[in-house]
Amino acid sequence: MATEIIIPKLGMDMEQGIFEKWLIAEGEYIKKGEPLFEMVTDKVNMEVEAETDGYLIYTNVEEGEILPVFTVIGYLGKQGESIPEEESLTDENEKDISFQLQQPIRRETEEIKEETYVSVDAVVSLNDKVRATPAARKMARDTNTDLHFITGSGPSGRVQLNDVKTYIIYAEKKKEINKQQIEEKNTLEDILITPPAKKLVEARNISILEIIGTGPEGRITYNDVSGYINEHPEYKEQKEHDGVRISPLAYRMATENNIDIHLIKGSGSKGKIVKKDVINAMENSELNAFKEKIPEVSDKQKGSRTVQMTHRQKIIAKRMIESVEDHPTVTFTTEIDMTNAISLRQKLRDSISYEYNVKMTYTDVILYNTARVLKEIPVINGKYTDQGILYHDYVNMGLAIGMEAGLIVPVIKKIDTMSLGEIAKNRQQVVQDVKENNIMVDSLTGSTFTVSNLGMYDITNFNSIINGDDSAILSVGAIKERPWVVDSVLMVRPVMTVSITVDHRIIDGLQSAKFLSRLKELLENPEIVE
Amino acid sequence: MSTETMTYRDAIKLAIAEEMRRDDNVVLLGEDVGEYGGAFGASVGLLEEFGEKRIKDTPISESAIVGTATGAALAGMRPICELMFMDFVTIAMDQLVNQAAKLRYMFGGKAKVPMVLRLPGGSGTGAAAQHSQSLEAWLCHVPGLMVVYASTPAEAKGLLKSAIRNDNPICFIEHKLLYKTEGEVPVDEEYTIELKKSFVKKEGTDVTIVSYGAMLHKVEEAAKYFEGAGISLEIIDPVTLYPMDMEPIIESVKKTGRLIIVHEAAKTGGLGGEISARIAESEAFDYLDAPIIRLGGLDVPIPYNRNLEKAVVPSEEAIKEAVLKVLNR
Repeated sequence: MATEIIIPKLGMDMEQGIFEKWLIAEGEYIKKGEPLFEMVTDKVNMEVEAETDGYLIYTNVEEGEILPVFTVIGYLGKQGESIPEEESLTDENEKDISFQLQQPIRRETEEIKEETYVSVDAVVSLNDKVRATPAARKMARDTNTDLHFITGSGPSGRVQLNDVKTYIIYAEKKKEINKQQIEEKNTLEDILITPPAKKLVEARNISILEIIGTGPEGRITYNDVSGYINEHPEYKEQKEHDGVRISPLAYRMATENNIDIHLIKGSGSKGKIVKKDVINAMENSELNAFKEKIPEVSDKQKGSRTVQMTHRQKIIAKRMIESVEDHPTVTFTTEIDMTNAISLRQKLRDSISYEYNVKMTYTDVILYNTARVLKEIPVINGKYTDQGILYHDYVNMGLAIGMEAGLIVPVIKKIDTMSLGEIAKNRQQVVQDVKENNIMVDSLTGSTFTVSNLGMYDITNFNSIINGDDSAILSVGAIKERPWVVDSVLMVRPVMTVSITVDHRIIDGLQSAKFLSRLKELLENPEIVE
Repeated sequence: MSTETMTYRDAIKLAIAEEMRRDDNVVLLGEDVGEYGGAFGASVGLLEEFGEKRIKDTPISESAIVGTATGAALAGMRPICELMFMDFVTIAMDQLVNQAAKLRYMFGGKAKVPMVLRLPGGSGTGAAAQHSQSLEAWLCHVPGLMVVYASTPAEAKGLLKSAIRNDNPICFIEHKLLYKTEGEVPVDEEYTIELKKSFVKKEGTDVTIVSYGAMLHKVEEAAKYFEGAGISLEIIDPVTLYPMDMEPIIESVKKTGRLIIVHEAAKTGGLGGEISARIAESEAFDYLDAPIIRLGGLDVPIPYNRNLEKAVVPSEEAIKEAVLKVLNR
């Protein structure tokens, strides 16, 4: 029986994912646990593994397509196996939904405040943990619907009766469409066509259902196809678009709308530009403006080139703008004599290395003390909301990490409850996860404050843009030897410059100054550390 | 059925008068019920018609009033007691709870206590903390008593007549703010309203609201307000608070999926909790599409200050907000 391949739900608040690409070709064989396709959430790129052994017998997704979680994007099955409609219907009825993901995912539940790792299979049996009203539950029970597939519209995402009703209607429709597609596919397989004709049909992207075959037993011949093309000029001149792969309809739309097809990114197979891409391009006024500015000159002649941004880069760009628009910020800077912090690190390094098997860094010392100060001045760890200032009893520390692929901010949750060694251990783990692209979605959300440390790049002083839902961000520069006056004596001391950028709506200069001076006090006098 | 417009107070007086004419065993006793005509004027003129033997002014002792009535009821009479304020039922609690409520059961059904305790309750008159309470939940906690709450003049007449004819001790609660309200009241002497039966006062589809007494009128106002907005409230008055007829409420919640209970009595330990729990235990649970909301009085003594007095009991605004909340709007 063919197994559905779906877009997995990787975090509590994940509603959709972007399908990037298949990692094997249609028709290829894959073993359980091997990477099957790549997808992007608004946080991470990830590879999704095959749930079972099998051939990728059917796919139903385009690269770059944004899909709700649990959307079926293909099937794994036996070689040559088609997907009979009864089978797919039974699948639905028996709720035999196979998740394609075996790696652990994180999931928060109401009852279990501590985050626990559960396998996706286990999530299915945890149906009761979905926040839903009794009425919604009853309907789901009566109709054999899995509540996990439903996005709740009630408070805190509670699934209400109406959500279930809407979902069922949606599922029915989807089933209809799948059925039609499968029928069409079966029909296609029944149509006889000569190999040259088939090649031409595929090259021009023509539906063979529309062509009347004149060969033996109604077989479609090359002549039938070229005759059809003559009657339908939109299928002509397929290849004469400067080597750009584009469907006839998309080409016509692009020409009519004066859009340079070189500037459109194709999302179809092998980067082919399809109708959707042209519509996206038309909506993108920036692209239009860009096109107008450099009308004729080719990019190469100008010595410049435009490289399409990855989804992650686009998301980062969007977040940056949102942050700047949402937060009226102001920045404060101070210098800290790190002499004592350095000797503290040297003193503790070996014992922490022994106990936690991790190399403690200055970042850890800074994170530890920052968390302490945040507990003392909670507004900096809070958040502006329309209802009032939201205070947290905990500190979830974001740590900005620059990667080639873009900025990533993993979160060390409840850092205020951790010892220095525990912080070092957790910090090392998230950094490693980020570098290995292994980071869980839930480890990228929920920060209450962020630290950005560029000290290792010899940057002495900089400001940052506030991250996510935080209200402040600490920018940490390099520790450098500088002239420093202690008790009227000029000395050379290791000095570190730190800046805090705050949301000025709720945090004023006094609180920011208190924050910095307390952080300075703690770092310059580590004996205050218990 | 021919009706007359009359006040809630006159409807009560009419019920008493009709029952006293019908049955010589019916008597009225209480503080100032005779010459003065009762603290709220509900027995004005009865002394003239029925005489001192059947309209008894009593000493200022609620314990004595209820004790006397219990004894009289055991001996075959059908006494009606007026306690000036519901708050004073506390003084009569031993007679009421330990005697009147228990005797029929303890005598194996051979003795019965057909008696009605009229209890003017509720706030809104500026009578302060000792004269404004809503203690119905206490009384509902005593098996052997029945608790009835009338919210309109017609109901006051029909229910009081049924209560007088009933063979059990019945606490008949009258809201002080309702005495002056007017309504059409059937003048037929055989007009009664069945006890232990909840009534759907207004049919609706979106939210079920259970309420009684003076609060019911605020709920009805809120329902009118929402009518224009396309939100349809179903209003149910349980009328007999104990033992309560849950069936119409369960059926209603199964229809609407949403329940709000509104009462003036303090929320903690109030009837809202009981109704809510019974719905959770019933088959209606599976039809709930939002958490049940209870609107009750704040857990404070009723203040004397008029503005504060208003603020401690659910307002029409609070009811509207609750409706929008259960609807996620």
